[in-house]
Amino acid sequence: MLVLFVLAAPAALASAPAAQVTADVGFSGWIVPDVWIPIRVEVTGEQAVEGTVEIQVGLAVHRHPLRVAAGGRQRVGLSAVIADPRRPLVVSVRDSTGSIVTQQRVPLARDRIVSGVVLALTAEAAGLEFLSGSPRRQAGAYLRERDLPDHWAAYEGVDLVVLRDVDERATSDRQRRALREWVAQGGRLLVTGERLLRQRLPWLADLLPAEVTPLPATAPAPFPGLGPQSIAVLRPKPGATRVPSAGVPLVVSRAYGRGVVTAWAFDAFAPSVRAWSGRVALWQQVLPSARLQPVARPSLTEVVPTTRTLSGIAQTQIVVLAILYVLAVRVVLRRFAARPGRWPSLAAVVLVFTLALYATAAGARRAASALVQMSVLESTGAADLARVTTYVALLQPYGGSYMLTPPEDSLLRPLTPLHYTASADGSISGMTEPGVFFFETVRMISLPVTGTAASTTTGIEFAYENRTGGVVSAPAVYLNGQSQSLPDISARLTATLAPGAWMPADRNAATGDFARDARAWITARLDGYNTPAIIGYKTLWLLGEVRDARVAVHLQGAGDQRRLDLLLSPITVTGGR
Amino acid sequence: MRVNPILRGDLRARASGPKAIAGYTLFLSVLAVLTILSLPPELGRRQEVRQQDLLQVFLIIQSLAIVYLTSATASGEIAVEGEKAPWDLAASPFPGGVIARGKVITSAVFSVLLVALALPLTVVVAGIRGHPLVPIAAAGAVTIAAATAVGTLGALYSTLFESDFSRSAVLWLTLVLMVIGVTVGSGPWQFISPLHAIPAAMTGDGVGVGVALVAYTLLIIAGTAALAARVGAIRREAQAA
Repeated sequence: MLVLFVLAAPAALASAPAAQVTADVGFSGWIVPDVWIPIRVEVTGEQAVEGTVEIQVGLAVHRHPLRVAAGGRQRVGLSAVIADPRRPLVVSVRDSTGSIVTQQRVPLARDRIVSGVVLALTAEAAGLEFLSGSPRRQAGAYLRERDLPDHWAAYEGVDLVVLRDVDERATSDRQRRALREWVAQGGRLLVTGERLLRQRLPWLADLLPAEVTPLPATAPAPFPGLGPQSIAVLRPKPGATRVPSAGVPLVVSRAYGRGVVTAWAFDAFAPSVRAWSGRVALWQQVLPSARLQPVARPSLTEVVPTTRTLSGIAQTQIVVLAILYVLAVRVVLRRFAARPGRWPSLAAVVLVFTLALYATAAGARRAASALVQMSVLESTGAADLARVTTYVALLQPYGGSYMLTPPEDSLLRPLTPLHYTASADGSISGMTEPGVFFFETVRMISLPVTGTAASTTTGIEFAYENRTGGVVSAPAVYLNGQSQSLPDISARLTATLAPGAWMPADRNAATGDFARDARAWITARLDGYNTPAIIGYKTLWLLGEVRDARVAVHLQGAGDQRRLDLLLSPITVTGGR
Repeated sequence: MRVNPILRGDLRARASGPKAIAGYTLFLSVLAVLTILSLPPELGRRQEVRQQDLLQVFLIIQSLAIVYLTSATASGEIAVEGEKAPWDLAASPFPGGVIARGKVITSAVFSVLLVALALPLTVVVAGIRGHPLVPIAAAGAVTIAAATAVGTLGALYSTLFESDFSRSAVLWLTLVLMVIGVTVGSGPWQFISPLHAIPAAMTGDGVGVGVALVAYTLLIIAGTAALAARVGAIRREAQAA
């Protein structure tokens, strides 16, 4: 385990530093660029320090409040995206006056940059050595409970999480929830070892693909070449796959939302298994060839409108003032025609209207800063969870300062290279040049929607239940490049999707109609969207428009904001061909 | 400070006559319509260049209008009640130089007045786009210089051509030459045209603005001298007759 222990250099101070800084970037120092990764900073106070700790990651400065007593320590955890690993992190501790108490550069080692990480929560840091020869440049990281991310997005660079030794008391609710949410939206989880499985941890029970009986058993020869192993007795849940297909199950897998949870009845990190020649082939079966991506991707920003009409009030004000000005000049010239005061009067009229019209124009200009945002709520099918990806266009026609506040428990980042400051509450702020700037925010929400689709001789019997309390408007179902429109769904809808009613799906995403373009973009993406083993050609997608205040990003000082929220539900078609 | 008597009389006429007031109203109404038409329909367009173009078009049209109005009033193509032409002033006791300078300064002050009257509308077009006002002021200076130069020529033409038609024809020929003719080729002379001088002022092209201002100044000096000489000649002809 490589941890970047960085002791604060006393450069800024003549005497001993008031605080020491320890930074741990990524997972045991392994860094996956361009995705959210965890960063943990620990500040130990040699003296009492009250102020802020700033972590500069690329163009971003993450600012968190700091209050440590002499001899005390404070841990700051955050999720950040490292776009350019050549840039070192800079950690600064500032006191309440803003003066730097301690500043330290944390260089990122190039040989620690990988395309994916396999995390193992195990007491013994061994068993993932085979990954060093991985063609995908994967790395294994051994963690303890305290190192588990507390936000699901921080797992974005993780290919597989392996749970072997888990002290439930050492994990927080947020960490457990983060792991569950990550699996639901496409992560891969492996639970191994009869000891952990037999603990039957309540928070893990829902995820596991099998029920576990309390007593252990022994498999005399579980796999060719592998000696006797102590195993947990697994009873696969419905829909789970198992190996071997008959007898005592040793490997059980089951989809959890868009992710997959696998249970190995034996201990993958037992010395005899680590020495077994067949272990790599077994690991290959559980390691994904590629991480599952959500349907919504940053290229969806192509359909987000980046212009905004000048407000009717501003236009009216300008027209009225212009007319009044022409009349005022005429009146002054007529009334003061031959009098000595005509020139000062005219100058006063020009000055007053110049100021009034400029103020009106400047006001319209300021009001031009606006947000246009589109959220895609992707139902995972597990525990009513939905992944929400929101793409935001910040329209700054004339530049200036901005402050964006994302929804609670979400992560927000710019997609356009931009200097910004991120606060502990997730809001980000900064200054921009004139232009349009794109941001992405991700979060998980509870979205109680379920659908079923069964293929029959008359078509597909479709049922959809919406328990969100809102209405799914303009819904349509997509299947293999074709679509059918449905009536709005406020609670429950049942319909027969007749074979002759399918129409070619609209793929023209350049009509200028925001909602239509977004839907066409998603339809085109669904054509090529492939989720091996989970979402195949028999997946029917429901796409509709909703209104969910929980996903909105707010721009400080801006009034009306243009929003489009799209719900996307995958529904597996059962029966038939 | 003694104000040039020709200037004083001309300004009084241009500020009080019903025709003059109608002229200002028309000028400002046209600019107001142009202002409303040039409001950006959508804010935040990626093609900011297009937005800049609209401001540039507004300033060029404004400049051309001021150049025309200044030269037309100076040449007598647009007659202002109560304003005496140089030809009439030749019979007055004022020296030829005073008359010539008076007419040139009248053109300069008149163009300043028009630019000032257009200011509230100009700041709307520029302000809503967040365009800095200093280049706009530079464009205004170029407009004033160009209008004064052509106004000087207009005053000169009023002494050279008795026929209204001939005077107007030569004035229009001058305007066409100044606005379009000099744009032929790609030499520095093209900045004499407001079509090039205004964009140069807006983009901070010091060379372009410098070329334009030097050319206009030379025209003003030469025109003033020629006008003074022509007034003297008229006076001598009248005395000889």
